[in-house]
Amino acid sequence: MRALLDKGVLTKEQLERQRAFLAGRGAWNGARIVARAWVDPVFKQALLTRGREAVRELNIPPGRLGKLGVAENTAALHNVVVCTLCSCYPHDLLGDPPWWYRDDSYKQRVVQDPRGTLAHRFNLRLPDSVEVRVHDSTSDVRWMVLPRRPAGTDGWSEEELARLVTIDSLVGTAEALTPAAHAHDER
Amino acid sequence: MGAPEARHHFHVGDRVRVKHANPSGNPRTPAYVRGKRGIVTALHGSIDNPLDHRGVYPPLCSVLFPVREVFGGTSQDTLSVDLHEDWLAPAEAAC
Repeated sequence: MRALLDKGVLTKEQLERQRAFLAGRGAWNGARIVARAWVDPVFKQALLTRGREAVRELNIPPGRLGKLGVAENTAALHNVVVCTLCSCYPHDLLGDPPWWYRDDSYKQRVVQDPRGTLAHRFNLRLPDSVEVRVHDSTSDVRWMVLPRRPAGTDGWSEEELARLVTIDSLVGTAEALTPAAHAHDER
Repeated sequence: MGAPEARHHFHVGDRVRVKHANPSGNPRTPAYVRGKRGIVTALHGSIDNPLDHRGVYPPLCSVLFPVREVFGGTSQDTLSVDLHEDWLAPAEAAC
């Protein structure tokens, strides 16, 4: 890569554009996977039990970095992902994680105080009735979160639903956007 | 992908304790759970992972720990950590 840059074959701008494209494509894959799981219970079950093999039906390349673990959020359980040993993430499938995923302060704080970290660092305040569960990804199983489908989205198409899925919601430091929050973002 | 459950020594629901020592040089267990007790919640088999490991590692389990067991305090939250079986012992046994 460095040689290609030095020789002028690749410019830094081209490289940055490609990085952004890959990151965007990955996160969009994640959004499509989540949206399909919201509308298709059979797909959701396959995703939860067979992991990355299930995504082939969306024409998404399943990747090959170990096993894909999918942690489903429910009314009683909120999942959040970290990799304290390094920065393992299903990036072959979902693109790059958010920048702070590699940050030591995130890694240390989220395991010691999951609920407090979500509240204070990510402004995600969960009621005491919801268990917060941290998944420490240690390379063999790469975890993603399946966020809950937001209320007020009955009858939405898969494509519309996918636009509510953010990269943070795939890590579990946010919930999927509400229709109101999404409309605000679009403006 | 994961091998079938048959090769696992532990079962879902088993109470386990994470060893303090580093068995056969396998480093992939976070320091904060060493010596801590948890419950096996999922079996993943022995995962072929040539990009990250030299050779084949033992079968992998997801083990659930209460945050308060690991770090003290009164938290009701939990930590799910994926651990190779060479790091695990039955919770009753000394390690």
